[in-house]
Amino acid sequence: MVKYSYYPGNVARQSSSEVEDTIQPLCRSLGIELVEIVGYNSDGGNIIRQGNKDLQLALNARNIALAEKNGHDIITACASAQGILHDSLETFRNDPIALANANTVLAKTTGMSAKADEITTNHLLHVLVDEIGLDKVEAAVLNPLDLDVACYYGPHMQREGACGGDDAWNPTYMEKLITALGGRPVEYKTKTSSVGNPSLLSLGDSVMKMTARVLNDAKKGGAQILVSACTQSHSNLDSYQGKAGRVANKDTDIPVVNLTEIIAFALGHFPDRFAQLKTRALLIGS
Amino acid sequence: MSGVVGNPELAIFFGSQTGNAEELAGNTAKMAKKAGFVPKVIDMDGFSPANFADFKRILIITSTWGEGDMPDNAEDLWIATNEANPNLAGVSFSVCAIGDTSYDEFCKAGIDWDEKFSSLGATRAHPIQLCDVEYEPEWSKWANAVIPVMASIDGGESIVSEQEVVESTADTAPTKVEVSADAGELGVIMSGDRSLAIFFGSQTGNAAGLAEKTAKMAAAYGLDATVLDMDGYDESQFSSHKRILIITSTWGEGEMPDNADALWNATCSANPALAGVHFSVCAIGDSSYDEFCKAGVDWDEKFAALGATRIHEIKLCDVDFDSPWKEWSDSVLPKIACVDSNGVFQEELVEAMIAYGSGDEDDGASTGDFTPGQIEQAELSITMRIFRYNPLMAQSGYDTVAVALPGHASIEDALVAVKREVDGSLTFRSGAVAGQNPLTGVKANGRILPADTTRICDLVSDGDTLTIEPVPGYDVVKDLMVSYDRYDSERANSKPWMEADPRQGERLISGAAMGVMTPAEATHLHTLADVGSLQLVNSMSDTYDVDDEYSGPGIALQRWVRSQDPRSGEDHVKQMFELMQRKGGVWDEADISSIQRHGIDGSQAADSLYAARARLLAEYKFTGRSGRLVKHYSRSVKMSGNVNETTLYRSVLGPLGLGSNIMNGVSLRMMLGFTRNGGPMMRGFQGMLVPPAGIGKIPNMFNSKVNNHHEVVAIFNELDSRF
Repeated sequence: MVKYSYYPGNVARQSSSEVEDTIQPLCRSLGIELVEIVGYNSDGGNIIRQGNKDLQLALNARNIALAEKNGHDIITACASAQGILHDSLETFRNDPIALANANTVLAKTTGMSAKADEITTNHLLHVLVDEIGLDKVEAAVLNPLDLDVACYYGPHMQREGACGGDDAWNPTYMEKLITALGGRPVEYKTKTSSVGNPSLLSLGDSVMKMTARVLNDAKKGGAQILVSACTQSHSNLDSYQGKAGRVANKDTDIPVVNLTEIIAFALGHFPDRFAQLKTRALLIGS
Repeated sequence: MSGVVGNPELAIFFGSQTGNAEELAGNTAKMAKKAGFVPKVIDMDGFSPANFADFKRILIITSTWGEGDMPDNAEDLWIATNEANPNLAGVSFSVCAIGDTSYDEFCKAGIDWDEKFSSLGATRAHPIQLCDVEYEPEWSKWANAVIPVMASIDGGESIVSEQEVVESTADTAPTKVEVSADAGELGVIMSGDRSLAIFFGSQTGNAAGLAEKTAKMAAAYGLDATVLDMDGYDESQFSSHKRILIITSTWGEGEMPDNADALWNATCSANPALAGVHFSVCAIGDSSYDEFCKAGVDWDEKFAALGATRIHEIKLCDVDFDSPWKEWSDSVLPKIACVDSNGVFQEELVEAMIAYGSGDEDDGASTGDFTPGQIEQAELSITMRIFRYNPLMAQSGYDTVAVALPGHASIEDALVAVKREVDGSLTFRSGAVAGQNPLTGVKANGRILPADTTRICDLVSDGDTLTIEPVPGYDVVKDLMVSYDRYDSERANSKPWMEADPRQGERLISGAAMGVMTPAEATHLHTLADVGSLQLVNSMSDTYDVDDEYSGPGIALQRWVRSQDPRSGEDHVKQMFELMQRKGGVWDEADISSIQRHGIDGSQAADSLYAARARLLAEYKFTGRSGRLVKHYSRSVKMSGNVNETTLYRSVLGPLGLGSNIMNGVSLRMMLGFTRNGGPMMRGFQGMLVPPAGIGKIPNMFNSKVNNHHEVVAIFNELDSRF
């Protein structure tokens, strides 16, 4: 059993509770123990950073300090959260003054301090490929996907050092994972493009056009469903799917699920939900 | 052999609005280079008129804008030149002016420069050339005439001695071989093969840096040095060299550095015969480790065991390696330089070689003007997929070409090779001088990069595919060439150039008032926008090509820098803030992380955009949807430790926005989320008490607080009381 400090991100226990439903059983199936970061707070979503960079860094320093107390590296299922945590760790490692400033605040307000030296932050995808191994994942599959799947990475974690051993610009980890789960990955051009999630509430048409571009590309690539490694972006891709299609005048109807859901389904969890997804993919199309 | 008299430097200034004059400047530079000049293409933007007199030969290529105006990039220099009126006696010049005869003020900008230079005492070496919209034939006529004229003008004291110019014909060699005519008794070994291979095994770059410096020094002994990365080198090729130097660090507990590991294993396995090879090793290590300099010692013993001749004892360098390395290189270079072209060590000539080498006082290793040598990389065989677009036929697609080229070749080198060998119609922008043209960008395997300075080996490995496409966000003119008109137009509209506010009584020579700033302020200002190409920063954004009104992060960066410039007048700063705040400004960027991931330039641009947003929020007190988003997001985190999406929707969108979401089906899709993900319809009592919150994918109205929530509140109170 490998242990990780689990950071759910901003929405896995809010609007995207299906992520929380599915990550727990899938990790148990694959021998990953998720150790709760008790009292974790929001990472700031790069929204707080727009008003005050030091404030977002201090909030992340608190999460890092809590995870260090657990004694395990961090895991998350959200690409956006992974990108922000990675950024914060990089800042602390490269800028001792920033770390000292954050620790001064932490010491005063929490009595803790973050070392930020050895701890790492990881997306579930990279843990499965680099640490657990696709052969072990494949061996655990009970319900092969048998679907044409478009993989969406988003831009947030697609940077050197933030995406494990995957290629930051032409990633293939999710495609390999989907293959191991019995699915058929399809290629499309915009799998690392942004759908504008940080500005979902503040910008109108441009965010919808960015969302529609990804969905339409995936459909044109021949996908039956789209799987998102970014829990935050899932909101654009799923809840705003119809509006995005109308604004951009593009066909965007496609079922969108989180990465944790599709893995859990293939490993035999929630067979009823998987059946429902297959029905949507084969009959309804959205 | 160069026909240029004296200093071969030729300055080519361009004043350009749409890129045409800039392109002609680049082409003129290429022609000048063939004629033996060392051309320097200079953007008028940012140039100081006081520096005109640094050049003996100047060419000016400029377009005219609007009703006889200077192009945007020339305007500041034109004003400053008229204020400073520098003395240009001793400067020879000629002007090529591009214009449109349908305008009254045909080619006025070029004529203005021509008359101005003449009035300042410069000598008109060739009459001004006026070119109409079909400018290429007239420019070509001018360039063909003016370059020989410029070559015949004495360029003053040469930066390259006449002897060097005569002898140095191999201008493509990585390290220039400079042989004095007075080689005397050494003449016998100074002819024939003078190659020297310098291998480096490096983990952190120190050994690589020393290898480059050693190569530079080797030229003083008439050696043609090549720096070779051990990574990817074929051990069977060692025996093809007569002279080898190895500079290597040791890693961990006596291990080879990563780039040397494979070559070491292959050499130990193949044991190639190295008779005829002369060598020496410089080993870098740390004496606090048990296995001090072991990697270097291993190579030294291995080469000796394989039959190579140790021409100088191994040097073991501790963490302060500069001094022992210098001692080693000063000793080994004259010795290895005495290995003749037949591979025989002429020991009796070493003293003469030492004297010969010391005749050049510049040891090439000074850090002041050090230019790194080219580090050669192994040849790569790759497949290039190149985007093609034919505007006449309105057809697009990809050409696939198999190419073999050195790993250190640039993308531009590869495109030039394809154009020369495969299809002469391939169109792309090239830089006359690498790193000087901000418009050479392409999209290479998804990355936005300058084609003239990006090495192929940094993008792909042997056998890979390299897809080259035009940069996004701009209209494609043909193939990989895009039009930067959108950028130019936005830049002209926002006027992000200096509008100084007089301070401290500082004045130009002409008496006009000017602003000043301290060195620290200047450094800060420089770091704010230290990016290679603002045009390419625009292409890094995933928003730029879906939002026609967005001026792009490159323009935003310019506005931000100007607003932070202590010389800018108050009105100008205010104007910059307003441009950043309103539609088309910095808030139009939907996701800064799409820019941030593009390497150092992207990260630099992202930092500045975040800083600009923070400043605007303070200036405009969190107004507008973006301001409300930041304020209420932060407050919701402070309230519970986590984001409350429901209150955030309500606070940011307001009643109208929420109504819109209901009308266009977003709210319904969120409520019916359980029908798509199979989760429960309601997860708690809130769905019954305060619907629609808590139903489907609409989150709860009230968050439970995180453990030790008071800590989160205290962090907020400590750092930002506005929330």
